[in-house]
Amino acid sequence: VSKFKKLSNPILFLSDAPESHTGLGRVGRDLACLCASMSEFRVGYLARGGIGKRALPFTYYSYPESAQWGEDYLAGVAKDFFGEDYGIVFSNWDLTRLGWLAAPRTPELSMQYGPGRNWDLWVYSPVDSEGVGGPLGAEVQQILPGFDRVLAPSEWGMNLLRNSGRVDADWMPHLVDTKVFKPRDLPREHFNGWVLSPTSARSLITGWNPDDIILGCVMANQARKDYPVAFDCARLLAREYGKRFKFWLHTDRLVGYWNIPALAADYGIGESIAGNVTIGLSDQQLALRYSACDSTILPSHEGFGFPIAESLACGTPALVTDYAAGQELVVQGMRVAPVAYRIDTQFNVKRPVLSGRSFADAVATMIEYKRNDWEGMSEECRARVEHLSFERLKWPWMKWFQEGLR
Amino acid sequence: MTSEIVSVICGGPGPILPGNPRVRRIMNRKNKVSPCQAYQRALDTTTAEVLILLHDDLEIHDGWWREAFLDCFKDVLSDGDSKTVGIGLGGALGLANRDLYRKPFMVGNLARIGYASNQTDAEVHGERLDGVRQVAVLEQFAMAIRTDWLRARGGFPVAHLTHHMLDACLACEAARDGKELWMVGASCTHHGGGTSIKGTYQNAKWLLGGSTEQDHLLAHRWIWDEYRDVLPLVTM
Repeated sequence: VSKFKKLSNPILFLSDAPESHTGLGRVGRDLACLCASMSEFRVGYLARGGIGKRALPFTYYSYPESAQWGEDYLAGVAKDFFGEDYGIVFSNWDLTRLGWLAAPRTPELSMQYGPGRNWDLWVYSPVDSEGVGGPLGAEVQQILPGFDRVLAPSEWGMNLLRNSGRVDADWMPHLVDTKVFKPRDLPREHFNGWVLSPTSARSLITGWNPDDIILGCVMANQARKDYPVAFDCARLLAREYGKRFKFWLHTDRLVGYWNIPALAADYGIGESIAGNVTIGLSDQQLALRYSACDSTILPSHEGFGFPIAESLACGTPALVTDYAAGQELVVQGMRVAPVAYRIDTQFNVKRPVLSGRSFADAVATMIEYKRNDWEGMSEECRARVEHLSFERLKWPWMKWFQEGLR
Repeated sequence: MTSEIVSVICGGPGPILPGNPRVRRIMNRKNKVSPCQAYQRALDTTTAEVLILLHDDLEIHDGWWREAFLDCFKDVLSDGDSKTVGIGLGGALGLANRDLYRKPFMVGNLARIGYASNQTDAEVHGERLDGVRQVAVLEQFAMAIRTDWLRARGGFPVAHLTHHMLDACLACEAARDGKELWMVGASCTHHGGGTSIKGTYQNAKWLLGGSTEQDHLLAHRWIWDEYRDVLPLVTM
């Protein structure tokens, strides 16, 4: 007998604020909105940070970012939102943030989140690193049994979870808004009949010249993103292409884990990057810039890799680390092999050691392909991610949510 | 329940059936119309409650096949609320796998899963089954379809398909409408390939994309695009 009803089962999302610009916040928002369109669910959202928006179709709770991962808030919110119903807590955070919930260790946490709870715990975790010997580290493995359902955003992630003891793990990619992220060309949209070209979006939107070689990079300013490799790659390309080379960098803050102005100065690419660092752009503004690039890079290791999918959706090849989930989105020629691996953080995660030279060589090759057949390459790139559109991917997502009620 | 056997005659001699029942033949030797258009013509012109479409290179050995077909419809009709809309001589328990929409479009992800029949070479195509079972998708060489249901669903998709994936389309429409398909394991031989390798087919004007390769690809692509709300199909 199912614990759930046919209609209006309460599902509470626990994630970054849905109106935030973080990838996790966007994923949480999209999935919560999808569930809100299904009669099987009644949707709530406990947001880390944020103040809500009237347009969001669910009950909105929030707590301050200073309160970490919501340990002191979830129990009260769940009691209020679930009422007498059996419910679901769904989180898309990294597993390392959810130990208190899946495997509570203190008496206080056990009382609130232990065996007596009246809800299932589902996790959609962006696993992005192996552990020392291959599977996830021992500390993370210990919390895996505490989840009722485990889902990864990539096949790579699913296999890692299965190798780490969750043989029932499944995978489902993120939804990508391909109506916004698509090849953008202002003249073509204003004057029907113009063909997509490398020139128009550049001169009108960015001030870049038609002949410029433009490399894009969209990365949050955090440790996992290898900014020095991105800058070294840009330095080598600037040396090759001279003043024609431009480096567009979109991030969330200039000084965070990395100091971007300092990197630009020390790598000597001030001229290439000047005026091309952006923060807080809308999706539409991002799409215009992705479309104008010859290529983008993502020297990182990802649980999914939104910037990869968005770049491809805009018809622009993305050079990606050949490790973790991101490489699944691209063809072999867009994967850049790490030169080594190292163990990092208190969870002993295996991180790739990358080379700016490897990325620069791959970008130079990709630029040639792209310039030889701009439209053909755009179509190829877009074909890699068209299946991620809301219109297509929402159906398997809905089935996944429905399966959990049986 | 009334039924009519129809065969579109292209490259084969016509179906060989025990007892020589009446078969209405729609001649299409020169491939002027697509098989899908010919099927639609059969639907438009039949007065029967069940339209039995048989390939022109099919041979059925068991004499009880037609009775078994109609029994399948009748049994479920007896409670006045039939869910069965299609019966065939072969069928699969699934259509497409879970990667269908998780990965970029690939024809291979739309393959049938768990195909069974009592064809002479059944093991070449899947497993042998001489009983009756519910399936997710029928095999196209023999399909009996409730005409009132098919008409209500808009008939055959002549604007989108020519030949390939008609069985998949039928399966998806049935799933979308909450209906069932069943197969009967009557002994039969489907010679296959007799028509599709002939020049009249290779050069047919109705081929999607102008070639047999494109016709195959675009048919799969249309199914992938059109039926994302029900695919992949699984029958327990």
